[in-house]
Amino acid sequence: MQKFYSTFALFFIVLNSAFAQNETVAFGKVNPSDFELKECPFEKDANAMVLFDKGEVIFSSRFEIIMSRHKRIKIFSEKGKQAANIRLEYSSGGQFELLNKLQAQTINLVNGKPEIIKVDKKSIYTEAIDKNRTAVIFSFANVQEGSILEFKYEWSTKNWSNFPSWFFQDNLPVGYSELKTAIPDMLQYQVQSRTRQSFIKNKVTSESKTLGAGENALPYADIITTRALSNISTLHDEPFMSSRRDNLQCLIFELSGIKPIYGFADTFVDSWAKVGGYIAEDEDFGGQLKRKLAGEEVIVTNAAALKSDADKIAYIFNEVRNTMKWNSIDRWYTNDGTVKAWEKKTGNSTEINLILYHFLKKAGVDVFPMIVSTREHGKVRRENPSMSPFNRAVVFIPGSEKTRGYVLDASDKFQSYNTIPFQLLNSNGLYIDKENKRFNIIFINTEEPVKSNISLTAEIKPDGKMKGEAVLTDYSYFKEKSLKDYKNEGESKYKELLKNKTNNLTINNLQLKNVEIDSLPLVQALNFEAELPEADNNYLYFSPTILSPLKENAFLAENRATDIDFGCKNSYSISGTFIIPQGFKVESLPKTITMVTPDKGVSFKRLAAEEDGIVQVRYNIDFHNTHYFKENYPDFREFYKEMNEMLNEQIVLKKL
Amino acid sequence: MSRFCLVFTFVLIAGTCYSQSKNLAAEALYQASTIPDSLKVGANAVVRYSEDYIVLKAPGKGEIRHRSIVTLLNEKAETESVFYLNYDKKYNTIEDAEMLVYDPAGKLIKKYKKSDMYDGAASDGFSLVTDDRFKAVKHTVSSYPVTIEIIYQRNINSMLDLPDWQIQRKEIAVENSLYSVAGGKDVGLRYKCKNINLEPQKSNDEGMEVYSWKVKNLKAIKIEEGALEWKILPRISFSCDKFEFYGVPGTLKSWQSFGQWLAELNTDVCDLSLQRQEEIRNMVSNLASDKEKIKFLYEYMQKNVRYVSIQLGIGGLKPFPATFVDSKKYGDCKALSNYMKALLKAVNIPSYCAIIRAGENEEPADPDFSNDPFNHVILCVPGKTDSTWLECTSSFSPAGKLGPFTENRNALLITETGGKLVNTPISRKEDNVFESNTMVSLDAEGGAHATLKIKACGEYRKIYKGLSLVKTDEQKAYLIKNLQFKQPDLFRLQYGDDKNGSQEVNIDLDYYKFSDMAAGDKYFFRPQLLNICNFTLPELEKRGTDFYFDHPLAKLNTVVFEIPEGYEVESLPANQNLKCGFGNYEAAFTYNKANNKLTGIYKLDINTHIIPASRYQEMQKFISEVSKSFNKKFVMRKKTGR
Repeated sequence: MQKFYSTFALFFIVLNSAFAQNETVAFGKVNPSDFELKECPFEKDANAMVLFDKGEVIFSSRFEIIMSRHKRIKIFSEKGKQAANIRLEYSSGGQFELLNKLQAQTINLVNGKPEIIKVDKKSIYTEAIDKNRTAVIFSFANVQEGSILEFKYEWSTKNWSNFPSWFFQDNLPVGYSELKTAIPDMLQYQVQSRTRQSFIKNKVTSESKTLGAGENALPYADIITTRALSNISTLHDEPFMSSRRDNLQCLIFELSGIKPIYGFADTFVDSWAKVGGYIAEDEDFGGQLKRKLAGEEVIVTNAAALKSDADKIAYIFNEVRNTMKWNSIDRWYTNDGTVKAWEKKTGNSTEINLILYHFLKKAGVDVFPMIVSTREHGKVRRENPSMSPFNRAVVFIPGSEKTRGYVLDASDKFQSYNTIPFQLLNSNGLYIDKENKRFNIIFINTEEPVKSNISLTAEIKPDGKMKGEAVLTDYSYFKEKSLKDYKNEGESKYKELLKNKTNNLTINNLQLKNVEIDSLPLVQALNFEAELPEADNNYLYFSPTILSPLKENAFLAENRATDIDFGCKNSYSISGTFIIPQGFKVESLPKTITMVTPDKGVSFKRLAAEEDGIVQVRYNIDFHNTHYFKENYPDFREFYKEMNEMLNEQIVLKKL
Repeated sequence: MSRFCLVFTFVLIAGTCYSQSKNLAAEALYQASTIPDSLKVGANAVVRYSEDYIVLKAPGKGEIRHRSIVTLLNEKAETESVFYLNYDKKYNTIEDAEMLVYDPAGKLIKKYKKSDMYDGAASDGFSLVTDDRFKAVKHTVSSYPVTIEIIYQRNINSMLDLPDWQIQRKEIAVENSLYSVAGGKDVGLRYKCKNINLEPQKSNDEGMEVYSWKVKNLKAIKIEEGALEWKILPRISFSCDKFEFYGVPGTLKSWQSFGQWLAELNTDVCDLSLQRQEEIRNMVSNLASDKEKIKFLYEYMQKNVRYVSIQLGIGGLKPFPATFVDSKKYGDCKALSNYMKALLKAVNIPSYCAIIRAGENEEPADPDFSNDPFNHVILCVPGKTDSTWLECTSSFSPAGKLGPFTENRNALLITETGGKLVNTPISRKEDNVFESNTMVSLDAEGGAHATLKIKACGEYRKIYKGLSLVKTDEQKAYLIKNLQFKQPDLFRLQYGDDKNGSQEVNIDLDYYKFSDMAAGDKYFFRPQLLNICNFTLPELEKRGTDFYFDHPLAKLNTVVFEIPEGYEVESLPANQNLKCGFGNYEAAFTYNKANNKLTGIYKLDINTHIIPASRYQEMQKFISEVSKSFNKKFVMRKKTGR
């Protein structure tokens, strides 16, 4: 379902009006220095770069949105030739968008002179992806190291709410990226400027225009804005970055109002209350809340028999989660509606959670539907009221001084009712109190650190064998993850995961406890056996951090372009008791040490002691924040490196 | 009602109309409870009933009618709830398609019609553009078991051969399955059983030969890690003496005739302009031997053209003309091979395009059964003693080296006199060598400076070629993880010479702290910087099928530790010499007191990439012992009494 505003409502007279062309780089005209360029000056390891990417958006005389785009790419090496295959996708269904006037050419320097090789029409393919989407595909000819490739086209749409977003950042480094927009002042767009670099051009002018001619001519103004960034590095996926969407530098335009030349202004979603109001009235959201679901009496009656709200919530949540299968579709609105979804036992995430809402409400729990955005989909920014950032609905129970609050999402089979869905952390949600017309935006987070504990006891034999028991206790998100892995991978693969690539370690008698009890952590008990390596016959070594999930370092990269977002605060502990064999003594024990990052965001503690042939060790790693800024990355990386060394430090035993 | 009757009924239905009311026995097939327990063992799904009826009235003209009832037992069978069928707008159409979903009791709960299905452009993942399309629909399964019935009918107006009857897929049991193929007189239908012996029932229907097979109660098959599905799963391959492909008639009666047809398809695409031919001759005029000319022109081709896959209509088999590639500088595997052929032709070196089934350890073509199992084209330049093989889609392969992607099998050579099956080279460990030289200077504080020189050839070179595509940071992270060295404080990475198929990589590392542990005056070190055996094989009680590595390999690592003044080596690991029937491993350590250097030499050879099932344990143990040896340490201590 698309929610759009009609286009031609306000204008009757259509006349040609030319837009003044501003300074543009001529197609085919190349700056000699671009030929000489041998590497991207600000990203030396790039195999190709975008020299410039320029877009100009105007409203035609028929008030269609037209974007003219001109992009030029430079190939530095053999490996960069991949950039010569172009695929332009657009929404062609019902002529929603059009793509025209495509021209493309390769420019090579041959004997000191530019040689132009055009992509001929026959080599431009049109692929009907499906009934809604089309792709225009072509490949540049005669691409060599040093080639310059350029193409231009015109993209248009009649729909004002389909104003094109502009991505400054690309899969290649971009030397210069500019968007110029000329928007009639009757149309108001809210612009989200998601940039981290500062604009090198940010200029606003206006130009008087008229609509129609003669005595009936209506005056209006075009607001002309030019925004440009330069030297924009590629955005690579980095471990624990929140999402590409959150980090790509771009401009997003949202139609926020129409002000006819005569008449009353009509504003759209320019506040959260308006967004909420709109959603509350939408047939595919607000209209679904009270629909009767088949057999609901049974669930509601069963719930009513339970004493506390917490019990009711747990019961209804588990009923819905276990009954419904998510069809992997995320929308903030329903597709088939709650009634049909309940009947089929499958639905999109919003259908499932509106069903959950409905039962809870019927059971007398103080509950609201809430629209949210998943981590991958990008964060909801409080400062930009809009409908576009949302892709899911969940259920919100505010709680009070006496009772705890909940955010419920029954679309995930591994989700429990008493943890806030990880997918939603550190973003905003808009909850809908339709009855009281209350629509508030709230920040979704969890303050409590999430724990994962390992406790080991083992005995070392003189022949270098270690035998012991371990208890792994996983809370909250750790529990979810472990159960998911266990279920998806099966026991034998799961054991391999637990071993974490440790050679010569065998795990036996793995037992999982509290799998079904949401209020308790997952307890995994197991026996292990390891064969210890030796130097010669004099020494034995063993690692006291067997089974630790932290051994692999995700922060090896020297540079970091995005913030680290762990979602929640994590807290790890490992404690071990090791019995030393007769005839051996401890030669080296890890030092007792405490280490914190300069911003105090992470702390590492290690204690080790030996008494009467028994070694005791303890490690505590606490992440005090969920978020670590890229500016502090060098410290963070160094900390991780040292922590890794300390976790890998072994205990040395020497033969007496 | 007996099983026989049941099957009989269905055959009748298949011949006429699917929508007839089901009888009792047929109804049982929709009920999950009627699945025999023996078929549930190790199965994620059970094919309750499957039936295909294929009619080839004339060459290349046919019709496929399919119906299957599959009960999904758990989430791992989720893909069985997806209907997916390829077609194209002109030649191969879907006439009818339907997917029905039943609950465990056999009650119909959902019906998807053809018009409900998504229609999209199919992507093979590597082509820029193709004209394949597909219809698809997915049913979201809310609980298991669930039974999915798929019915479709499709028309074929262009084909080389029929798809295989994949009798059984992995981890899916088969209760009843029938397959019938009818071929007109001039079609020349043939079949061949693979991994199963199954006799068809032969009959005659309106002058057509009809072959019918049926199987019953096949238990689920699990594919072991490192095993090849094509060697294990039962199937029947089909071929026709006569076919028609995008309107071009041909014959697959023999490999010779198929090659003939392909040769004809290629006749008008292999000529460059006289001027270009002249230019090419001039380029190699100073080269004496054919070998040198081949190498020169191959490298010229690698440098100037690039791989872009475009598969439209007959263009799926007929290459773009050499003149097209020459001016546009791109093409797919056949266009590039054909272009290379044209370059060689210009200098009077004959060569042949060869079609092949590519992929590590893929199945060779069957000499006794000519059909179309191919997916790739390479070039073969016959020589007096041996042939030179050229992989024309690679921008960096050395001339004459194919690699495991196309080695160890046969290819169909397209010659003037037709097709000829010839063997591609066998993978050798000498072609896949990883060699490294490490020098580690330790300092008295436990820190170190290390230089590492890697020489990689064959598949190892390919890794480094691929690696150099990603950003430097990712390359370093990969190396730390893959070679398993300790995370350094400073890391410099440089790609050195790339000569004679061997890529040099130079790595410079600084460590403030290199020792793993320290105790008083003693430091403990791993006696190597990098690990040349960073994998293990799963421990199994019993192995049923052969294990395949991607290729044989040879790895060599020499490491020299310079011990700082005032220190000496207290203890070093014992030398090791491990052997098994498929490889050997050596680790030797020497400590030279005079110059205070510790040298370690590590050698790992895996001579063959195929490990027979009966000897898997031997190999598993060997690899496990080898990987274990990388956990050892040496001890450095302060010299006493100076």
